Amino acid sequence: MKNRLRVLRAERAWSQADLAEAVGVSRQTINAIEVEKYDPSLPLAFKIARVFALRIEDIFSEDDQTSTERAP
Amino acid sequence: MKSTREHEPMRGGERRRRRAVYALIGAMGAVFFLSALIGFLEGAGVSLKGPIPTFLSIGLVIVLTAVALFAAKHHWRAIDELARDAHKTAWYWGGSLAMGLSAAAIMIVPSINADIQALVRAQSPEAALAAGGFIVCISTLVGYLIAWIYIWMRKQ
Repeated sequence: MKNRLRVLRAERAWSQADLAEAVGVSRQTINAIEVEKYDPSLPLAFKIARVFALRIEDIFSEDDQTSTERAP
Repeated sequence: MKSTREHEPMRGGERRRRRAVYALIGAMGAVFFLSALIGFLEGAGVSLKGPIPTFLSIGLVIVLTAVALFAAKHHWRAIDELARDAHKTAWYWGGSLAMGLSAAAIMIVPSINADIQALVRAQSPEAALAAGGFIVCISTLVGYLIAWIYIWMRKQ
């Protein structure tokens, strides 16, 4: 599953540790999600979306489709 | 990041992690203390060899199980979903595979006319049976540990 976590973090100048603390997981978990080695659970995806004030589908997308490719 | 903390506070997370570490250290310390006590008694000439009273062995198992459950409960609550996922996957693949292989090996040994009792240096068939169970348990733990290390390294 692809995601825009790294970009969204960079836009807000947040570190992985900042995001990890905000959603209540370890920094390793955020890193594993960013490098697509781990797909977050639905509750964690909701937490991440809430922190960025976005919808889940604005952050996560299927492997063959990125959210930016979707129609507005 | 002040605004994000308002969204999802991480209250108690660090406290839970510390408690988990204390619980693990406490459990390991308890085992170490018991081992040291037994060693000291042996060194002092108080031999613990011979049959252990049933109430003592049952009590020891209950106490150690309670300590292990306490430590595991705090550890499980303190870790996040990535770490939990690694444990579950390692147990499913590494643990079950090693358990199956070791159990199969133990069942095959008698069929090739090997003296399993002599092989595990057991004094009786019951002791050989216990040794077999012990071998399966240890193999399961080793398989789980190897799988966990592999999965954890891959996730980093």
